[in-house]
Amino acid sequence: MAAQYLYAITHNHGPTLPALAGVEGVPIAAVAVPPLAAVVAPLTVRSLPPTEAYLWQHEAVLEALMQQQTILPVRFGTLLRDVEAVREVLTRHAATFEADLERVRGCVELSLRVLWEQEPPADPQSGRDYLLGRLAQQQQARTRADALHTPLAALARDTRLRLLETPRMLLTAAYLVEQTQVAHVRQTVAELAHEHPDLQLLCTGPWPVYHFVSKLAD
Amino acid sequence: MDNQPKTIAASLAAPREREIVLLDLLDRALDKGVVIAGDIVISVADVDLIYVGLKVLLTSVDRMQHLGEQR
Repeated sequence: MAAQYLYAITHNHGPTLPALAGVEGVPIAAVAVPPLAAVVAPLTVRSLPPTEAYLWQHEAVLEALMQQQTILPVRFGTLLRDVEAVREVLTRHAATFEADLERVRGCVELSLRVLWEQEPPADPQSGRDYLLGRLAQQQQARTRADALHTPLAALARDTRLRLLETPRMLLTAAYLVEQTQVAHVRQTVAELAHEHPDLQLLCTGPWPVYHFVSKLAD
Repeated sequence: MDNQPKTIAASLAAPREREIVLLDLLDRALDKGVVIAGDIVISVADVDLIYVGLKVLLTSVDRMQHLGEQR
């Protein structure tokens, strides 16, 4: 039997899958274990390298699916042994998948990155100076990040926030947002950009809800 | 979408806005989402390549001076 490339987990009672060709042009199909279903496609390759083209093909399928139903996106490159293995995954993790689908129902993910120009710290005269300088920078980052994150988090069902992923990247955030709220969130981002002209706000999406799926038990 | 598969590294010369969207895609599709483990899994994406791609893109976005239209 052919290996199955796994795109997403969804409800079995959702709308009929759209006629879509995914990675390598292979049409998608559903494998159902009610009330869940996995969206898959048979592939003959043994692995899928993470090239930009393949990544976008994976993403395109998820984006088309999320237009019409709630889905849990699966990490790129997941190839299962056969259809039986897909059923096994649905059965084993049914409770987690059902709870996650309920939690993210009707939602999409928006991404925000914020770049800032930090004032270079004064030349430290001692180890203590250096540490105090670092601490002050981190406190400043926290304060500035909060001013952006708090109003956006108020519009989201859930959030993920990382501070200072790099020295210039003040914050990296993901927001779980109801589809009806997407325009509102974008408008708020635009207003925040206006209020903080020294920061660069980079907002992308709507993405599949990649950041808001649960880690599966072994 | 491109006609030919490109490596992540080959995309680094791309315009800035595209880099941000690609960084966000890499950060998600390769590092988040449902992770299936066990002997029923034939393969998952190459972790070393992912790490390098993410690091390089993150650094390149970090260095940006000016940005135009976003996705």
